[in-house]
Amino acid sequence: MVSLWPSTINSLNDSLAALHGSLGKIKAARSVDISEVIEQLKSAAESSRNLRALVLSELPEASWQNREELDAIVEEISKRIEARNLEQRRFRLLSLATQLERGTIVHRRTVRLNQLQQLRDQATKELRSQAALAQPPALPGPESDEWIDWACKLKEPEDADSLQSLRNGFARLDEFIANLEPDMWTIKKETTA
Amino acid sequence: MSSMWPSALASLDESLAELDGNLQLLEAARPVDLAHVIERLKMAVESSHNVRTLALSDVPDADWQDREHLVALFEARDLERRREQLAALADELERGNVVHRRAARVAQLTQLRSKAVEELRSLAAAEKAPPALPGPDAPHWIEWACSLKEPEDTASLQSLRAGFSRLDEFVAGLEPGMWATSGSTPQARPSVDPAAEARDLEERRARLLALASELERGEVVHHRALRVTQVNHLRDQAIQELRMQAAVAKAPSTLPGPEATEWMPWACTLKEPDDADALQDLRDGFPRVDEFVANLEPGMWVAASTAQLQTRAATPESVTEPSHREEPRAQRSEREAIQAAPTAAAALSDPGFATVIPLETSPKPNFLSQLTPRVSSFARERWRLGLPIAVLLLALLAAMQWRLHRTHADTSPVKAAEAAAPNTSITSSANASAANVAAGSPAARTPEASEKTGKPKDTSAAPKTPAPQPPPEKQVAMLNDASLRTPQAIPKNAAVKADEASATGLGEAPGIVPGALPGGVANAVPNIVRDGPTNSPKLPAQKIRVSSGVAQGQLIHQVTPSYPVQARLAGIHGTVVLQAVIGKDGKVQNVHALRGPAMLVQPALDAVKQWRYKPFAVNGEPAEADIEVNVNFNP
Repeated sequence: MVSLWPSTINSLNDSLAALHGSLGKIKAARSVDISEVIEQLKSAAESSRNLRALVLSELPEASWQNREELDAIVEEISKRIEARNLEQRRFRLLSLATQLERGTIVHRRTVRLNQLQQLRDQATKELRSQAALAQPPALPGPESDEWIDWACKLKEPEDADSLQSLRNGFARLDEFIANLEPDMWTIKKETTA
Repeated sequence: MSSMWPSALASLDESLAELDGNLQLLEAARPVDLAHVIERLKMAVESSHNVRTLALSDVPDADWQDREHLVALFEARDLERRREQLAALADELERGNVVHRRAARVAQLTQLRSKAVEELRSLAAAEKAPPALPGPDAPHWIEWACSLKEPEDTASLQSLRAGFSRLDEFVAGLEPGMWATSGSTPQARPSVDPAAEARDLEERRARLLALASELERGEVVHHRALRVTQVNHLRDQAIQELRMQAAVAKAPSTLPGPEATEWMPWACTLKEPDDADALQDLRDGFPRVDEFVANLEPGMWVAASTAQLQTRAATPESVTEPSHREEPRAQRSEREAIQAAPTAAAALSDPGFATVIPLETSPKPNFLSQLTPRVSSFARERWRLGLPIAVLLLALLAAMQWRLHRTHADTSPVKAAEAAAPNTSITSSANASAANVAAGSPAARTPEASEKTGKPKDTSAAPKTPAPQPPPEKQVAMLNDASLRTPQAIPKNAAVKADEASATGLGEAPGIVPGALPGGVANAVPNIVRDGPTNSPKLPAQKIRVSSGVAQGQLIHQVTPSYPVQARLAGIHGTVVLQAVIGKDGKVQNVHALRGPAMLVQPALDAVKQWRYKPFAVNGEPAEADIEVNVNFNP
């Protein structure tokens, strides 16, 4: 939904610009294609309706009379969305850190096991550290309970973007995942007492 | 065409304004009725198409990119069209003709037209934008402009007045029927051929003179003598007006109606509103004639050519002019023609002639009144007032003389003849005599000739004149039938009777000229005495009354009165009647206004005060003269 904001607003602005161009021709008594102008009008009306729906979805009680008031409301909504996004990012980092802590590394060699556990501890620490930042980086991939599976299946060059994003923001986590094979990770099932 | 594009643009802007309002709603992501907005959009596109069609129809190869360019294009074309419109109207004005019954009015309007054309061409050629001419295109413009009226068309009139003052002035004076376009046939278009115009003027003048003669020859009949006098006075003024109009150098007004012989019956049947046009024409051009015929009922006029004139004496209920209206009418016509001629002044200055002119001192009865209709009618009126007294006196005298005649007929034929002479004919006969003097007949000159030679007139010669006198019985019958008849002769010894009347003191009544019978003809007694055997001493010169016509003949220096601009603009016109005393030196003294438009009085006074007359004379002595001066102000 967040991505609809700029596109919707831009769509409306573009439609209106085209319409104003046609109206300028009409005002100057120059020839125009009436059907084209009507399409521009319909498009502008559609974008206008979408934008109004977006605003009301964020602020159902919102009320405005003109474009300036609408822009102020949209600005307010944007700030709210940004704050919400940061919280979500932070939540995901902490949730993944907890997930890493709960899981168990399985390997036939103790040295390797200790090495991987050390990497996991560093990744967990990194996640918590990043979550404490004012602008925590966005963690690519699914939610935390599916994240280890998703990450262990990443391979180059197909998942280069995700790997690159992971490498840029979470270097320790990336190192841990790079050493972990899918069957080396088990997560304890929550037991009922 | 020029007025269409602003309205077309305004219509387009109106559509766009509403559309713009809806677009603002869209821009603010507020709800709109899309179908309604589309309809508005279609309307705006339609208006835009109209404007474009308008522009291309006017300038087919026109090209523009934006609204400013388009408006500039329209304005340039509008300016060009405005100039073309002014030039076209100027052409139209030049092609058309002003039509009016009066040449002076045509000339005046043509001059205004020329100024309007000049104004239009000047504005069309001016570097700056000419003002917009209200109204339709040139071919229909005059008709439109002539139909403008206030307050309904105040806006157009104001626009016209503000931008085209000369044109406005022209159309303000133009009535719808006064304009003939080049394609139409003018109803009364004045000929541009000078010879034809001159002929036309001559015909007009001839008509006026013919009607004047017709008026003189006819008779006013009414059962009241006072009414006859009143109407006769109006008739005299009408005659004078007709002669004056005929004598003016500029084109006289066109007399409406038929020829002179049929004019009076026609005029007497005019009625409003059916004959409003003819009446208005008459009123405008001939106010005195109009006043006369307005006072005249059809049955009150007996034309000279009708049998009624010959038999009117037998109509007891009708009273006609009793004195000099009968036979002297033709002579009066001649005399007034002479009076209107410039030679009248010369005649008046002749000492021998002057001795018989004075009203107050000349023994000739009513001589001046014959020369001047105004004084004449005054005398007639007084004569009529004294009519009953005169009739009684005459009846008494006739009875006494009849008795004397019966007693001494065989021993005193002269006295019998004297007693039989009808005194009622004094005025008429005297006037006939005076008219003869005016006409220069030998009969009229005889008394003066005898006076100059110092030979007393032989009163006994009077009976020798073959004057048909009714026998006493007939005379009584004539007095009894209550109708007036024209005496046939003047008894020369009638002076004795008149003098007796004067001796009664009646002639000294206030307002009566010394020696006159009360209510009778002014100066009757002195005139009678003049006819008698006595040599009347020269009386000191007195103030005499002179008609405006006679005074006009004596006028040697005339200053034209200034027409106040405000009065002209306000349409105030008319005649200012002034009364003035002409001093013995010919200068105007004691001038004052009797009547007339107030705004025009002072200019008239100022002008007349500067006039100079050839001195009037009574018995060869300079005399002061009372005159009335009519000063006409015509816009």
